[in-house]
Amino acid sequence: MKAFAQGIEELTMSNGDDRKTDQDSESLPPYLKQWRGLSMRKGNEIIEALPEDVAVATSYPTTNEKGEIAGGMRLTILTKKKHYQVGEEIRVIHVMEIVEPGHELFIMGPKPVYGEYIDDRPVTPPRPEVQDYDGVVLESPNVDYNYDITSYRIFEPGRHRIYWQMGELRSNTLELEIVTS
Amino acid sequence: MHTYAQKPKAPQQTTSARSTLPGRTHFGQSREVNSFLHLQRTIGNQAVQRLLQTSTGELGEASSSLASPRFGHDFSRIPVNHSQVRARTAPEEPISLRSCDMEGTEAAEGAEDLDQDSGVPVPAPSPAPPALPAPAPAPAAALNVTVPAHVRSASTPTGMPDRIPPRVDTPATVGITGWHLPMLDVTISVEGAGGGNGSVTINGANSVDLAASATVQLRGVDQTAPGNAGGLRLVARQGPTLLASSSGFSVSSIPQNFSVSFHSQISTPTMRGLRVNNHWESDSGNVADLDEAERSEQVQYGAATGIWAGVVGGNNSGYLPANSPPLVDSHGTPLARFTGSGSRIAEQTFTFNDKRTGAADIPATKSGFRLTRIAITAPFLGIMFTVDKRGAATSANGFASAAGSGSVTRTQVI
Repeated sequence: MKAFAQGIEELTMSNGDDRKTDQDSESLPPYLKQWRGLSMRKGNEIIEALPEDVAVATSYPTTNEKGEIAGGMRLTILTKKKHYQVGEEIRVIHVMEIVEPGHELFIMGPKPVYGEYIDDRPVTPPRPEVQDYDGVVLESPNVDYNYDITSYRIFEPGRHRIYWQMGELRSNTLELEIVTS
Repeated sequence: MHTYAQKPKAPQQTTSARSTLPGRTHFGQSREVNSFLHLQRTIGNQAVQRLLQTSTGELGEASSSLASPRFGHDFSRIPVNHSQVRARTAPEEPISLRSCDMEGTEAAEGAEDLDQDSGVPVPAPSPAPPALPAPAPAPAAALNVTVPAHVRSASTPTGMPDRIPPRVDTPATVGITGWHLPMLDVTISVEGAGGGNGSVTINGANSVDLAASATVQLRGVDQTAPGNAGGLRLVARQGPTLLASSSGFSVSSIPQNFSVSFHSQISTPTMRGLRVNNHWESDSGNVADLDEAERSEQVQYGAATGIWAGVVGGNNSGYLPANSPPLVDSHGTPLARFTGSGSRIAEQTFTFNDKRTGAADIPATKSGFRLTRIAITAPFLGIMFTVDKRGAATSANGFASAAGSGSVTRTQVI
């Protein structure tokens, strides 16, 4: 039996960071060298994200585990590590990158994460058809980190898969190993 | 013969630029006064005052022409021995009153002699000659000098550390009371410049010399590097003596005075609305100076009716570089929403980070806007959709600001 609990809670990490990187930061495009910060919601407030989440998000430019590019865009999800204890909090960072020019990137947020799946089961609502927008837009190529940070706890040991899908655009799939202590 | 044993002071004249004070008397007119000045700057005020107070004789007449309220002293009342003054205007270095011939002069009664090296009182030689009555000194208040405790331009928002912008003047009032000749001028300067702390001019120079209260103009030149905040201080010195100092401050430019102008209408297969250019200024007058500043948008939804009822909450943009305006704001509504009438108000303000001072999440001055959407069902026409954005004093996500400038209104038929 699987149990998921979404929500922002206090983060406690005990294991090391096992994310992989392969890209030299010097060779990054300029827009990936700019860090705009990471926010999260706490009730009705927008506050600065936890340092642990910021550390995960800022690893995006150099990680080798990004979503496939489709139509000049890609979605990527990131976690601090790949191995978690049963019931340990898993915090997921969301990134949208548009790699080709000619598009607008809507960076206001933190935007709700629609269409996230764990083991092919939806754990967030589907994207609504109607969404107004107010605020700055950036021309592509560019990157947007301004999405809610989702939080899960998985109580069934074994391998579990997480991905994020918006329309036909699908993120990389994170394969997490949940182990008993 | 008297032995004066006061330790000579180090030369105190600085190389700083001197301000031009209206009405200031220059001493080049009088050789005698030049002599006093030279003495005073060479061996210190106390020795000269003592000399003035204990001398007698022929200079009384010669100096009477110097009586002037500008000097704070009536020199006509001070007896000075001409020959003794001349002896000190061309000294063999180093100047030391121990070597001066003070024969025929008397120290004021009760004056204390100090050993040159130890500073301890030296017994007066005996027998002491009869003391002549010293002239009553002109009453003089104690010197009191003040500089602003906080050096910050008027454009500095509440919550920011003390700072001034580059390129433009920031006035600072220096208070001086009790100054009188033969005191040294009070030198106003900014200490701590360089090494990433930034640099500042005062009335266009590195320092100014003052003898009376004045408002000086501080102008940032080099901006403070990130990590070096608060390394500058406005100080007042008399010679090497520190008289007053401000708290630490920085030189940095910040974004302010946001405005909007029309960019384009949104008319895509799925969206309608308005795009506006979002401009801002630097308080230095040059947005290129904002290379260590970042700006962020705050949007909060307010009253909503009809087709927008229930839309609440707020958004921000994260921080973007502040040195490349304008950016484009988009205010779009999906066509699918236009099922009837309604309205919605959104409040918008801007915040900034300044890496030079370390300030974060500071509400930008004059960056408030109100965005109004109105959809009206019109017979035979469809839905008239109007978007209006204009400057308004408001707050969003807890950040308040006075009104920005500009307004843009466009109506589309859906």
